[in-house]
Amino acid sequence: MIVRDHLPLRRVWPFVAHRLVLLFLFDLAVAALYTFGGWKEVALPGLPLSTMGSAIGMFLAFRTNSAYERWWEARILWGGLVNSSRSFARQVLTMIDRAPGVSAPSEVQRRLMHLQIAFVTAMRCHLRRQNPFPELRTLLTEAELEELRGHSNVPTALLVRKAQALRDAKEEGLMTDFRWMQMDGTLGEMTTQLGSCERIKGTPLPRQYDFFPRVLVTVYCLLLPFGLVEGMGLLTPLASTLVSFIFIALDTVGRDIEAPFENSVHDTPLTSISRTIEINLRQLFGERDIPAEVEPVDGFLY
Amino acid sequence: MTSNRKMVFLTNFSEACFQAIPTVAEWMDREKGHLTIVHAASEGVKELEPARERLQSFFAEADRYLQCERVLLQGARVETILEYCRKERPSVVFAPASKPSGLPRVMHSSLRAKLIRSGGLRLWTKGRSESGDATPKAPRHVAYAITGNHGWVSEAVEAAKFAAQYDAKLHYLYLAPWPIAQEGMTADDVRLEMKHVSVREVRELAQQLPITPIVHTRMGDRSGDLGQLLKACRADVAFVGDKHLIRRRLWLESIHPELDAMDCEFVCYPARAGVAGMSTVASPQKFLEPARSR
Repeated sequence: MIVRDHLPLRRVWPFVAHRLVLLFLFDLAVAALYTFGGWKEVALPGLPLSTMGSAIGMFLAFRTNSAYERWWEARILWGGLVNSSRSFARQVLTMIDRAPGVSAPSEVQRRLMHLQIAFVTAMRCHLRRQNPFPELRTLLTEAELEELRGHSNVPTALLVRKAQALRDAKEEGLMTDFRWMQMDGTLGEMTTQLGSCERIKGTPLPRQYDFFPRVLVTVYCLLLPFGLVEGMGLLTPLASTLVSFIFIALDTVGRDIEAPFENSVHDTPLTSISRTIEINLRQLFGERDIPAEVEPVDGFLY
Repeated sequence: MTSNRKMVFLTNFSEACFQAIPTVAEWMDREKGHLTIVHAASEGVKELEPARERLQSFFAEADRYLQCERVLLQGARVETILEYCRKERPSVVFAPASKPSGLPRVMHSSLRAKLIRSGGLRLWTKGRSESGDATPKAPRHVAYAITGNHGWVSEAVEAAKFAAQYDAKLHYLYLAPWPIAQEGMTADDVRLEMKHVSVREVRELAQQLPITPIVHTRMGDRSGDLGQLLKACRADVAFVGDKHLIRRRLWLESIHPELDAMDCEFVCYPARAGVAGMSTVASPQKFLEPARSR
């Protein structure tokens, strides 16, 4: 996620440079043919182009909005996961009984906290198609890790582990049926959040939304110098490239944000959010070894 | 359980470095080694604190790894990195491509090429292709371009081990140089094979492996010829030699553009071991150990 106020041109330029340079050369050729070659018939009236530009602008705005909705929904879901994790930690701390007179969290409670951190870690890695096991090694035993390797959906398997740990606690008489139902409801919330994130990850924006804007923008940028050359002459390449940059940048922005779990600068900042959850949970459980917050690197938060 | 294999991840905090993180995680899980994230600040930088802060925040996931540290170096980039690697002797160095600047780089000399050439480092890298998926999947096709290096058999075995671990198809690429025919030579005198490796040797090795490789042969020794073979076998990961990956023009060295443009990860074996005692490959016996399922 980009958190800096301005986006330097050097960050944008590589993504649009290829198309812009080709268009500039094309515009230059059109201007030269019109001015020096006497090809006056290549000039097009401006009105149809203006109408076409407006239509494409609306199309691009619609597509950018659709992409942003996906990005924002991903952020909402991860915000929800932060809340669910805190609720779960609170329930673990207050609804599971400890031995009389003991104030520190019990072994069962600590294990549930580790499982929750492991779940958040695994969910992030699952969505970014990253191997979670090097990170899980500090939270789970080797035997548990080996067992999890057999699962293609590790976060779901960890949800089951949490449910099993809760059931064991209930059977040991550490919690009542009512409390168990409450906590199982929180696990249900997390299952929904995981499923919703998987839906965003697994269902791309309809390909028509990706294909047509790109084609229409290219066609428009190719036609633009013909509409400008009569009025602007040799300045056509400059004006045409500038207008093309706006359309190409809009097209690129929409494409960048439509996939919020791709390990890029446009991602929802999953690493940062999962670190926040870990810090919150460890502090709630009175641990001393608290990791640091994830800071933006060059204005980008991952 | 951890191993003493060391891995070094070079970063300049570019997006390409962030996109390489899933690959590093994969290697960390497989090798269970020690990861060092290294940033080399240039000599001219007076204030190192901002660089240190960026280094601490970069790849925050690695804070959870059992064995991970961050090292900030300063000095002439190539020399400083090489000096560090000579001291640490890493088994692999991760060096992602820098993001394209969008401008032609006329006098550019690649840091990755210099590291491979001057340091004899085994280097992982990925090109500049933007067509592919930013996040890696388990490789389905693994290729090994026979290097003809002294230890090519163990290189081939390592590629086979890598492919077996992911249940991927293994391809051996045999690029024979165009034969030199001179007046007075008979057909028997014309060598149609690589200088140090015959096709028969490759086939014999293939028969000994528990995973059956597909052997592709082609005449030509340019990187373009290798690129076509890699495309033909749809390689996701390719183990290659430095002569395949590096292009030298005048005094400038760079990663060959045809390979750099491919959506494929490369693990490059140096022709000579610049870092003494560097562990570059697994032994054939180790290969016979059962592959751990993921």
